[in-house]
Amino acid sequence: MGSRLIEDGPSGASDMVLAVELQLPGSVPSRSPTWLALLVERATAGDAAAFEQIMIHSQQRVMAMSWRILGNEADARDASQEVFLRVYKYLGRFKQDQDFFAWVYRITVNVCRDMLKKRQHQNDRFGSLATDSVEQILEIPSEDKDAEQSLIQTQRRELISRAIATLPFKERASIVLRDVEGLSTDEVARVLKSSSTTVRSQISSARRKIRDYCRRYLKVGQES
Amino acid sequence: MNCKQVEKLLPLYVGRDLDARSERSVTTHVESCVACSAAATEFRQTRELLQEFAPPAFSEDVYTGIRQNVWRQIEAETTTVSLSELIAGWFRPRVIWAAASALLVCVLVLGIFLIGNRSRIQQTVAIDAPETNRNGSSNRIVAIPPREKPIPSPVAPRVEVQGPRQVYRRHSEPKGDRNRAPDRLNTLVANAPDALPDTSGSPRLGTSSDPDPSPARDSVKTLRMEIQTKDPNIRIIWFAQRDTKPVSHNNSKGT
Repeated sequence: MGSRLIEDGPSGASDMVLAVELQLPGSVPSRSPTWLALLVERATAGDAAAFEQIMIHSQQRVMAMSWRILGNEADARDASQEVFLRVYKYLGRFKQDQDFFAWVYRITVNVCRDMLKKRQHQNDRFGSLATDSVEQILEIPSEDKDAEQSLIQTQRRELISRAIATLPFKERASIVLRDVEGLSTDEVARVLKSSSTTVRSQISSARRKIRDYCRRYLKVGQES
Repeated sequence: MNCKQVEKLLPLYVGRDLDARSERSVTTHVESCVACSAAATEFRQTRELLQEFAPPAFSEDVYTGIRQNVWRQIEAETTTVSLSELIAGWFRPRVIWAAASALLVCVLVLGIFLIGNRSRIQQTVAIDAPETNRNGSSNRIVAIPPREKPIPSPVAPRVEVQGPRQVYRRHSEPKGDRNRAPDRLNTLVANAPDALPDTSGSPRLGTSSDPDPSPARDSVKTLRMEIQTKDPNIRIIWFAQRDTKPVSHNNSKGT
């Protein structure tokens, strides 16, 4: 169905988006690597429908990765747009023997790094958000007692998000790719264009720092 | 393996990022050490928190908006690129043109420099030899009569030879011997083809060509011979000491 849609799809981008939405609502289809390779090949040749399929297929990963590194939805959305723009721009450089998602992850990491640099510059001008107290993290207002579980989940997410935000960028990217995205150490090294030893060192340091951060704030939370 | 060593390896141990040998050693130690076991548990809990670190569920509208923005930007960039490519197309071989222009400028500057220098050299030559022949052949020979004693004069007693100067120098006497001008003139006449006497302008020989000989001139007692060459600008004037004997026309040229 999807392949037929690509073949018969309209040439205009906006019309094509509508057509894809009608045919493929919401969920990300799980396809074989061969199918993805075919899509990449056709998108490289200028097939807009194929590129739309690539975006649909990878948007959740890109958005989640961006959100984990950047920590908020607005930045993650901007980063995802930039990632897909770069994918479109540099699709010709992608080699078929590479892992496509590793390549997309690498672009995502680079885009997030650029955005963090920009944001760091802005924070230097307008003050950093990292100075928020732990009470602000733990005292998230909740009027509905049924939402207690959701509150705990939100608190944990916020805690980890802030712990990750304290890490240097390389450690942040390593720990997100390894522990959150579930890549192996060697895969992380390939994505970050680094050695496995370096990645292990970064992961070890990141885990220790996150442990210390959580221990400190959980202790403060228990005391308060 | 002691606690300190194990504590360093625990972050990697909980993620199974150690090699098999180190992992076995740490496992053995953690099973026997309460403190290290508690630390390992703490690291495990942190890692579980990380693994649960899922982003909030974004709605499909968010993804649709992202894709639409991407397409919008791609279209905008394509339009911009095509415009810029159109303009850049006029200057496509920019490097080649730049190199060619630079070369042309260099050649022009060098040419202007050389032409400027050449005119300056010509001016210098003109200053050195203001009486250069207009015909281009600078065969002008002027001999100033030698004197008993060289006296300072605005017109220095010298022989100016333009053009075939090297030919004359081969036969000329050492420099500074200006009192031997007659001999030198003989040599000049003999060696300079352009300086040969004209048939029309035959050699004139006289005791004195001065129309108004003064007593001072008489005391000098010189002979003067003028030879007009083909070139109207070249005249050979030969002065010689007057002999007491009368000098015939035939042998005066040879002396």
